[in-house]
Amino acid sequence: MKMKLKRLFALLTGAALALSLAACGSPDSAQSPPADSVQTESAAVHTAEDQLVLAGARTLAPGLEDVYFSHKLLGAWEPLISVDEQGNPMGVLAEDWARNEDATVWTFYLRQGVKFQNGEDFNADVVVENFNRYKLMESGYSQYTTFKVKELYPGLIGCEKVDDYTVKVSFTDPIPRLLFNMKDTASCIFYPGSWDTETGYFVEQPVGTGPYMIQTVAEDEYVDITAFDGYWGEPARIKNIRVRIITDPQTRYAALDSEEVMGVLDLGAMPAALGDELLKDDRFAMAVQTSNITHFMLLKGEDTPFSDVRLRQAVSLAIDRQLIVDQLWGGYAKPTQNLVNRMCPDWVELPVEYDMDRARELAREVLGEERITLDMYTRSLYLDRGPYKEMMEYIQSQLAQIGIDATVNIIDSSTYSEMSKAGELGANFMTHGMSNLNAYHFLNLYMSSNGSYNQSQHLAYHNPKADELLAEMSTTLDDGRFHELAVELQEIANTELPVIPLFYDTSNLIYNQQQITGYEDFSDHLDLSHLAWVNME
Amino acid sequence: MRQTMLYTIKKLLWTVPILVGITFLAFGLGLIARGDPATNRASADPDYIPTEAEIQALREELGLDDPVLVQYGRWMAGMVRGDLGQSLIDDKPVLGELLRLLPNTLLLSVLALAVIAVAGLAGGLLLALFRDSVLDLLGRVLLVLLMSVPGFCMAYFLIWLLAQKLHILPTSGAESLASFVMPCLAVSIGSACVVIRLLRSSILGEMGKNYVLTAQAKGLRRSQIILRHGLRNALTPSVSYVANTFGGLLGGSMITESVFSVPGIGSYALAAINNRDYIAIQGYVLFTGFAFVLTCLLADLLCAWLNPRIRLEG
Repeated sequence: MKMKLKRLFALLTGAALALSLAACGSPDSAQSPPADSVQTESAAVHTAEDQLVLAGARTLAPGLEDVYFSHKLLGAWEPLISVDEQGNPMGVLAEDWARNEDATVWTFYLRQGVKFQNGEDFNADVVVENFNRYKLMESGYSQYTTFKVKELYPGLIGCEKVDDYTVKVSFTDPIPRLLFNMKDTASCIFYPGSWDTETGYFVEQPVGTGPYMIQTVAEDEYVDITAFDGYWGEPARIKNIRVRIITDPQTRYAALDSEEVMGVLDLGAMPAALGDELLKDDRFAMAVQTSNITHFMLLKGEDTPFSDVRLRQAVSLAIDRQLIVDQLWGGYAKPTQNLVNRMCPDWVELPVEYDMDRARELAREVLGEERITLDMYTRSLYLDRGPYKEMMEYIQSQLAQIGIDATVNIIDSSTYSEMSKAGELGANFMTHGMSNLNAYHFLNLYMSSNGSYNQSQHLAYHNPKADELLAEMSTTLDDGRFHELAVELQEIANTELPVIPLFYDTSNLIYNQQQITGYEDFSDHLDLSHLAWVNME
Repeated sequence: MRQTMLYTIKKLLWTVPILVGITFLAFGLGLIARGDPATNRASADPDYIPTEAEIQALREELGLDDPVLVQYGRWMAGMVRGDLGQSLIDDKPVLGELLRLLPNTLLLSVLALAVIAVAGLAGGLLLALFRDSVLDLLGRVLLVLLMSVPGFCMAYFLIWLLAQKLHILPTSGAESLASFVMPCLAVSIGSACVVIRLLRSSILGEMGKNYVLTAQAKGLRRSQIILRHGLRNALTPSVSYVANTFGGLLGGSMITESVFSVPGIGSYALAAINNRDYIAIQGYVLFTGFAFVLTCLLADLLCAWLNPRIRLEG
C-alpha cells in the first residue's frame, strides 16, 4: 500500500511539474504545426473580399475624443504633406508648393480629382475649413501626437483660398521649415461639418479621403475598415481588414501562431525575443522598419558631477551599444551616439565609441578616487517595448567599473512624472520620437540653454556656441546653410553629449508570409492598401 | 416572516454607513496616491514633455487647485445626479465607460460564478460521498495543484493548449461567447477548487452532528443523509465564499482581462491606476464597492434563508 502511495505521489508530482512548466515556460515553436499541415493551410485560396485580421497593442481608432479620430496607419484620412523614405517632404493631398522670399507666405497647389469617402470633392474650401480647425487646437488631445497649433504653425495668420485648387497660408514671422511641421497629423484633412466649430473636436465620425473607410469601431476590441472604391490613388488590394487590439505581447504571439491574426503592426508590435521565436517557424517573416524613435539615457546635470562633460563622455564610452543591440535587441536596432534620428534628412553618420580604458581615465579626472552613486530610472511601460531592465543592469555593471555605483529602478508613469518634475531622476532611460523630422526642433529641445527638455529634465546643458547656431538655424532661409548648421550641432552633441543616445529603434512587424504579402514593401511605414493574400483569386 | 423582515431591514441599514465610508475611501485614495493627474494628462503623448505652464493651466482647468472639501462636495453632488465625472485623461464620462464595459465583466463574472457554483457543488458532494477513497485522495491532490497555479500562468497555459495547439478557442477578445471561455476558466478554476474543499469539509463536519446520527438510526443511506439534510446546512460557508468571489469578479479581473484582451472594468481600472486618473479610480472604487456590498447583502440573506439560525441569532 505504501509503495502504491509513493508511486501515486511521484506520478502526481510529475504531472504538477509538467503543468507548471507548460504554463510558465516560453512558447515552444518547435511544436508548431508540421510543415505538411502548413502547406495545406497555405494552399487556401482567398478572395479580395475575405477579411484580413491584424493585431496591434493599442487602439488605432480612439474615436471622438482624439483630434485625429483614427491613426494614420488605418488609411482613413490623408494629410496635405507627408515624408518620403529619406525623410524629405512629400505631397499627398498637396501636389506642389511654393513660398515667398521670406517664407511668411506659403502657397499650396492641391491635388485635383480627389473625392472624400462621402462622395464630396476635395478642394481649397475644404483646406481653408481645416486650417480654421487647426487654429482652434491650442493643445488638441491625441494619444498619438498632441496637436499644438502654436508649435506646428507659429504665427499663423490664416489660410485663404486663391482658386479652387490653390490656397495661401500666411504667417507673421518666417517659417522656412514649415513642410516638416506639416508632416502627417499636422496637416490632416477631413470633410468639414464633423467637428465642433468652437473647440475643433469631432462630434461625429469624420470623413477622410484615404484608401480605407472605417466601418465599425468596437471600442477597445477592434476596428473594421473597408476599401474606398472612389480612392484617387492605387486601390487597396484587400477589401476588408480588421485590426484587433491585443494588449499582451505573449497573447499577440499566440494569436499569430494559431493563425488567428496574420500580422502585427504599430508601436511595439512584437518584442524581439518573441519575434525570434516566431521566426524559427517558416510561416513567419519579419519586416524590420526604421523608426523615428531613439532610445536615450538622460543624466541629470543640475548640481551633479554630470554637469562636467568629461563624466558624461566617460559614461558614454563605458557603454558598448553594439553589445546591447546584439544581445538584448536581437540585432534589430542601430547603435548611435547622435542626438538626431537617422530618418531626418539632415542626419549625418557619426562615430559610436566604446572604450572602457578611456572611460576610466575621464571618470578619474573628474571623480579622483571617489565613488559616486547614481539612481537610474525608467517607466514600467518600457518593459513591454524591450528588455529595458536587462539593459539598465548591463549599464549598471559597466558604470561600476568607472566609479559610479548605480541603482536600477522601474517606476510607473505617474511617479515618473512627479520625480522628473522634482529633479529626482539621477538618470532617466526613455525613448523620444522625432515626430516631424525637423532637425532644429529636436536639437533645440536638448541643446538650447532654454530648451524645454534641457530644463524639464534638469540636464543643465549650456553651450553659448550651440545657442548661437540654433538662433541662426531658426531664421535661416537657406536650406544649404540650415543643413550645415544641423551637421555642426550634431557634431557638438556627439562630443558634448547633452544626453546619451543609445540606439535607433526599429519596428519589428511579424507577419504570416505564407498567407499575406505586402509587409515587405515599405521600410519606413506600413501601408495597409498594399497588403494582399498570397493566394488571391 | 417578521424576523426575516427585521433581519433584512437591519442588513440594509448597515449598508448605508458602509457605502458612505466607501465614498470617503474612494475619494481619499485618489488624493493620497503619488502622481499628478494634470502632469499625466499633459504627458499623454509619450514623446512630449510638457512645460510647467501647460501643467498649471491644466490643473486650473480640471479644478485640481480647489480645496479638497470643495472637490469632494463637487464629486458627491455629481454622484447624486448620476454623474461620476469625466476621465482626467481622455474626458470620457466615467459612468458611461463603466456601463459600456460592464456587460463584458458581467458576462465573465456570471459565467465564472456558474462554473464555480456547479463545479464546487458537484465536486464537494462527490468528494464527501467518496470520502477517503482513491477518488477523494486524487481529487484533493489535484485541487491543491490547481489552486497553487497562479492565475496568469493558468491563463497562458489555457491559451497554449486550447488556442495554439488544439485551435478550438480564440486566444483573446470579446467578439463571441467562445472568447469568454478561457478567461472564465482562468478566473474560476482556483475559486472552484476552494469551494470544493470548503464544501467537502463542511459536509463532513455536519456528518458528526446529532441530527445525522438520528437519520442514520432511522436507516437512511449516507447519500440520502448528505443530500437531504447535510448539504443545506453545509452550504453556508461556501455560499459566503462564492458571494465574496462574485463581488470581487464584478470589480473586474485585471490580469485576466489584460491577458485575454477582454475590455472590462478591471482593465479600465488598471489603465486608470497607471495614469493616476483620480476621477476614474474614484468611480471604479465606488462602483465595485457598491457591487461588493450588495452582493454580500444578497449572500447574507441567502444564508439566512438556508439556515434559519442565522436570522434568529442575528
